[in-house]
Amino acid sequence: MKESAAGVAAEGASGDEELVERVLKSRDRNSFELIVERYRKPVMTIAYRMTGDYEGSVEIAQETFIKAWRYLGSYRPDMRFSSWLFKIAANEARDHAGRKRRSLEHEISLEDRESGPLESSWQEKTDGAIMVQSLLDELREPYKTAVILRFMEDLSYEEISRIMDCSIEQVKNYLFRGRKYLLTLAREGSYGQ
Amino acid sequence: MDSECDYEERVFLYMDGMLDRQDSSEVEEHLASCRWCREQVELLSKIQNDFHADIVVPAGFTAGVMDRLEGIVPEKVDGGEAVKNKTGWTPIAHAIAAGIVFISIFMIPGSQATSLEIGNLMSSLFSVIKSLHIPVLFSQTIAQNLHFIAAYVTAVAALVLYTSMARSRRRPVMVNGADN
Repeated sequence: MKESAAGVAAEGASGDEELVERVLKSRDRNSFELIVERYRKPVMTIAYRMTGDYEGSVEIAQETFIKAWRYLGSYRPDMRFSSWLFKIAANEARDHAGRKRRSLEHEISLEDRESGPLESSWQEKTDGAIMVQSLLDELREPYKTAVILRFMEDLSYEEISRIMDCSIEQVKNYLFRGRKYLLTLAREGSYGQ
Repeated sequence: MDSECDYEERVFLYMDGMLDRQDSSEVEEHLASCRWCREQVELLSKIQNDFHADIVVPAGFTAGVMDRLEGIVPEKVDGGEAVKNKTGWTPIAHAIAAGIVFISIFMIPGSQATSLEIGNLMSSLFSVIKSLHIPVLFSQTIAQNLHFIAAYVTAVAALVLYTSMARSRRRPVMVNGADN
């Protein structure tokens, strides 16, 4: 079944609260499995776009759901469930990116590396998809997270501000500067031509 | 126009549906006449489309997650109170309790030995204060109440220490942003 990253969240919003309630009341694994099915694609999208590391993003997505299961009791309905989940995913992805950066710095400092960089077992299918990742990789935080969350379409400025723990004004600023830089890079690299 | 445009920020807000009707109309009029902004909109839309390229979720992902949940017990939180307590009043309540215990120790007769040790320390501090030529009356007041002062200083220090430890230990589950 093909899932749209942005669409699934919207489609699932109506039933999320009931599923969460069932999990909380009776630790209903079937309900949680539905949540995983519903959000695995958008969570993977956030993880991959934030890290550019496919294998890592699978691990991040799994960790996201495991944390969601463990800490579901702290979820508050004043935030959409999808936003709550995306917040975990974004935090996990940032942590992963930080660990990977430190690990790479360590590896580079070793002179006798025996093997080259790891080959990803999955490649994006289109040039555009590869290019968008290379653009995102150039963005610094917090602009990167803001732009990625906004690209998820379904998320409003207010939701992004809650996910990023900042004000709506800051979100506006991050989005403006982030997208402006992204467009500058895209123009310089003759994006899509 | 083939350079940057002052309207750019408003164009982004327009794309995000963040403008009211009047401002939207204004931006639409601008877009009709500004080639730079039109190209920015087109390029951004293309990037956004590419962003959603089909990222493959590996086969067995859901089963893998469900397997990993085995043995993990969800933290039972009744209406969120447990988490709230964990990061809110519990450390403060413990700190107050610790403070009361400390004060009690110094107030009861059997605690003289301990309080004397603190008293000795405070006496040393008192000689330093004295050497600073603080008015005699004030110095004597301090000297006469050394045990109480020691008790309260210790209690406050314990309270501050405990609270800061509790804060550093607390780990908001998923809402802790970059410092996660």
